[in-house]
Amino acid sequence: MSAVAERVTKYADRRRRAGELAERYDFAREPLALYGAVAEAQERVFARARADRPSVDALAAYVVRAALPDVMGAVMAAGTETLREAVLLRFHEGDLERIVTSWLRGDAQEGTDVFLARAATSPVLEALPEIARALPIAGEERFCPVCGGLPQVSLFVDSGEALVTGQRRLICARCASEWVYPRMTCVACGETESSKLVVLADPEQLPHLRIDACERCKRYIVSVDARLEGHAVPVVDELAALPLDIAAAKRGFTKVTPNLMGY
Amino acid sequence: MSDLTRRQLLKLGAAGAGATALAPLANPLGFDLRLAKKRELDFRIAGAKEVHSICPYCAVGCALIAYTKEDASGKAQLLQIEGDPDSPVNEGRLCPKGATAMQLATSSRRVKAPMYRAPGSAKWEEKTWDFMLDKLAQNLKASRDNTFVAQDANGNIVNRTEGVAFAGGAAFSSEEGYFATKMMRTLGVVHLEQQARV
Repeated sequence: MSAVAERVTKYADRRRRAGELAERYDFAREPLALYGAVAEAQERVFARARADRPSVDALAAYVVRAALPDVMGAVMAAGTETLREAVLLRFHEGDLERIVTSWLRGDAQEGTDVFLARAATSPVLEALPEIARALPIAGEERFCPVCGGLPQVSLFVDSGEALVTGQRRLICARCASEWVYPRMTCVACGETESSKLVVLADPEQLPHLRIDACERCKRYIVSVDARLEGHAVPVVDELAALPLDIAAAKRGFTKVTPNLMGY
Repeated sequence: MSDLTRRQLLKLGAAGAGATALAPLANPLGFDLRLAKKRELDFRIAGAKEVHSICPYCAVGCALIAYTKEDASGKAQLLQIEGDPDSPVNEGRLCPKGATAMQLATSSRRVKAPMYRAPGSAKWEEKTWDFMLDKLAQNLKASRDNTFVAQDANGNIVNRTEGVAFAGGAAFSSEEGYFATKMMRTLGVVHLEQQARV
């Protein structure tokens, strides 16, 4: 399978998974349905970016021209009222390029702008790692080894051998790159004292999802255990951890970075 | 409603979300989270911890991650043990014996008190540690006295105890190993071994 075909299949997997999980988890049906619609638009954006290969300087303009229309279309078809209103508003008066540029810089933005910028830009970054590598970062610390972005989800994978535990992986919220990161270490502040690291889970209701939170920096990340759910697609399954997200918020924890659906 | 007003409204919405940050998860995209909040109340979401440990079975010292949860009475309950993938010693691997290390804590067949089988008896009975220590001391002394060899066949002075052998445990610390060796040498024991392997 060529690299391009492999990556495009990823979007098909994400769409399929969003449909599966929407069936299973009524509490996350709305965001998963929108995710499925957006992933379809993103698949086209991804393929187009591979063909067009825009330069890093022209990235924001390219995203506005070649990616945002598809994403906005998906929102108009499947988005919440808040999102549809924001799209109309931005479409008529918004400086779309500035929205994308601000998001790339990691500026504080309205939630709907973050959604639009992220949904449209991330498939371009995923398609063109050379652009992702040249991106600025929001803080001083680089997290993702490719683009420096924050991790969206933590992943435990099956090592393929019964007596071997594989290394934990993190997936980037900006460019979807994966990297290895030590277990029992806070992904945000690096805390390793196990008495400060809390796991929140309901092994009966959501066996393959859990929250890894840190008492020191009060931040957390969702972990997907693909050993317990072989068909899991981490970025999609992360959206189904919603009740755990609420439990974490009640305990005063904040996600390292919200997911595409804003939670 | 004009666009301008709408824009102000959006801004107000964003500011409002910041002001009520303590309210669990105000969603900026307008998703209805009521069902999820209800589920959160139905779920039994418990806090758990992962702690580092070392496999007790042999001298390799493979690193373990133990997954524990407090039960209703506040007692730590062991849920799972796996190899630590970040350890340079075992890189997440465990041998078949180490992989069952959890049974050391949870097996229903684990012996929890000293068991004694009297000479000629067919059954085991539970005894106190004091009883066991006295019994061990008496038997060890008797075996030593009965099998002590002061001189070998050629008349060399050897002062050794041939009827006793000692096997150290793999979970011994250096100090325990040192102490065991000193004590057994004092008794003249020459058959001294260590279970430093699987």
